[in-house]
Amino acid sequence: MLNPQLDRRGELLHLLTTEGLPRRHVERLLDAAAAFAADDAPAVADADLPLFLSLPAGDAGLRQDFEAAAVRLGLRSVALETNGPGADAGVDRGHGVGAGDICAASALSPAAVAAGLPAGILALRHPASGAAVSAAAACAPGLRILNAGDGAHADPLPALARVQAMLQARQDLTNLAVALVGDIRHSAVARSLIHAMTTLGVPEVRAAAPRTLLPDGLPQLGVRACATLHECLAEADVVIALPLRAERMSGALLPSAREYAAAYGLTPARLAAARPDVLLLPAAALTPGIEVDGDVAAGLGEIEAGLARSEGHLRLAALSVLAGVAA
Amino acid sequence: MRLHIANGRLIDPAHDRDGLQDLFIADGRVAAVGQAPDGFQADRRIDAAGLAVLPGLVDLSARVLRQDAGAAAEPRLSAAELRAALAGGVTTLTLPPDADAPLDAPAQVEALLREAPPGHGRVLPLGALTVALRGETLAEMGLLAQAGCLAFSQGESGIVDTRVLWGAMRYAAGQGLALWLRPQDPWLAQGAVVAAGAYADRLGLEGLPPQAEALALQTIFELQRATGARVHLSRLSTARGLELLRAARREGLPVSADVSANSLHLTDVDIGYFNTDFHLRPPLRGQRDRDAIQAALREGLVDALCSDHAVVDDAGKSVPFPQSQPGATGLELLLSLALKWARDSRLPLPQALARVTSGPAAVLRGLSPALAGLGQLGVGAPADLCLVDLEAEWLVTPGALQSHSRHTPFAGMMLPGRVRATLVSGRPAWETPV
Repeated sequence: MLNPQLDRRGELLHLLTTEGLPRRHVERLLDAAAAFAADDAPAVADADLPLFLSLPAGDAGLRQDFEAAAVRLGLRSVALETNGPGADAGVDRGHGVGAGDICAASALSPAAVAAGLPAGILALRHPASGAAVSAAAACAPGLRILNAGDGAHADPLPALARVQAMLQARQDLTNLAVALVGDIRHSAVARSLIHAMTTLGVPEVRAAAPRTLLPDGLPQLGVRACATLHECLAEADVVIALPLRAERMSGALLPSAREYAAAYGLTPARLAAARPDVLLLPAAALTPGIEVDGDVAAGLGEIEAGLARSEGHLRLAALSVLAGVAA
Repeated sequence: MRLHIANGRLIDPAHDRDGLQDLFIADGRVAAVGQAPDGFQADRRIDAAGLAVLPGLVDLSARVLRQDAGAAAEPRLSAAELRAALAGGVTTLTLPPDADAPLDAPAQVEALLREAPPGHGRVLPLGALTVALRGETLAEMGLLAQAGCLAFSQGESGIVDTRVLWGAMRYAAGQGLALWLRPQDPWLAQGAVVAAGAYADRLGLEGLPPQAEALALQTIFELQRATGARVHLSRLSTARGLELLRAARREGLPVSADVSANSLHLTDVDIGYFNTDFHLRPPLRGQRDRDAIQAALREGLVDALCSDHAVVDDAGKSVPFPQSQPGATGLELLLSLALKWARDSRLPLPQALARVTSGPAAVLRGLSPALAGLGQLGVGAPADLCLVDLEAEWLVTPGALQSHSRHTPFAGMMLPGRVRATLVSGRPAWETPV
């Protein structure tokens, strides 16, 4: 079965997921992003190439990020009115949604949107897992799909930004122990991060969360589920804090955000189990007092700003790579 | 019309027949096997040399309705889907109710059967167990049975309220009627689109745990013990569910069961990259479950293999997987999928074909003695049969199917066996264009 984001020669057609993405493509994206960070990257040759944006109407920040990237690269951004408020309700930055939460989505399916577009790039964010894959399957040969998050399936750019942060802090990923703490079940970023880390040779990925938020299939993803938070954090080099969206969850998954905070909230005392120079990375915006306590949250500002910058550079990198093949 | 079907390889699992034997048909029934009856003069002689002569297939789950535009339009049998049945050698099928056509009104059922297109196979509707399949109020089972309903079903809807299920079973048992249930706990099924497991977790899709089937079965069996109701279980899909069925049968509960041809051949990893043609109900499960299904079908713990035919249009499949409509076309694939199973598992043909002929026919006979004689070619049986080229291989090309539904997980696959002609009550009903 061909990976739908690669052509027959293994070149990148779309960026849908980090799963099955060959190492050379991951590294090419990371290197290109580093070049943009150093302001050392060219604009795209074909200045009139359109960048279609199919993004939740409520996510103005993400839209602006893509529009700014288009300006930087000389692409022509075209907003598509596809995702209505129903779809909007199911999407957070950095956090996917389960299929059960999907209500009325867009008037047109992602496949129908993609099928109607000419050559260019379509940046797509959608509450249904697999939306970007269905768009890629339906689109004309000249259109490239950039998955900006599909349900709980994949969200490659924020995931690669976390990988970039690890590389900047530790250089060598092949001797790291990484701890994921929180809601992996509903997280597209977590899935994409796990696949990217596996591809780049991170030898130990562990996870801790209430059992209801840990998928049973973690071992098949190369992740060890820990019985306790302490076990997960012990001697960890990197800790990824996943956001909790308790208000979205059925009462069968979690009693309350407060109880989650009591058992899994990251505090300086709990983080002391990790290595002294532990790198704490939020997978998305966190709520002080829930995923992290106030003291930990106070120290995250610079890291969050760095991750946002890095994600912006990766956006430029991904768009320029896709524009290169699309041109 | 008197027919002489000559030189064919007659395979009749019900009578343990597999050999070159002629078949003689008069007045829509089998008049003789092997030797012509005294004075038999055929109106037509069909040379079946090189072909197998099989009883018409009996499919225990095929949705063959069309819903015309307009909210008030009554559901009707679809000529295209009935043609698909005949093209697949299926001469008898049971029609489950669904949300669009709940089959909860006797007049609706009568109209449906009255207006069936001429020359089609036998359609046995399953009536609604509850009004509009809402699981709240019992449907008029007695009147529906008089109108032609074979048994009573919730379709895919399930029953949330156990009191209603209990009442339905007591009521049906008292009337001598049977239930036809797809065992699945409705709460655990909420939002689930694939089988729970590593693959669902990888794709970020909500999974249906196997406990959903096991819990529903435990409830059904416990209520059967209390009420004595007869139940047919539709499309079991888990190894655990089959274990429970085995215990229930050993205990002597009045229960029969079928499995879907999709579950017999495929597993969840076949979904690949969110291929919506593989969005099915029940969902495709793991290798262990598939192995258990094959074993249960082989040994006869499960009575029948069904097509689980459903008409799903392009719009229903061209949306992201969680939002796509479950189901696949299957009537034209059932025979080939049974033959493929026989070939892959090195089963004797009569044993495999029994699961699409005499096995399901026995389920129907158990529900209605008037249906005796289906799924076999003994003397006196209705002459429902198909002529099949067992050596032919064909490429599943959705656009070339008779069904209006172009979606099947077997698209692009080479399958063995091709129906050449189908007869219903001794009348030629289908001939495959050469």
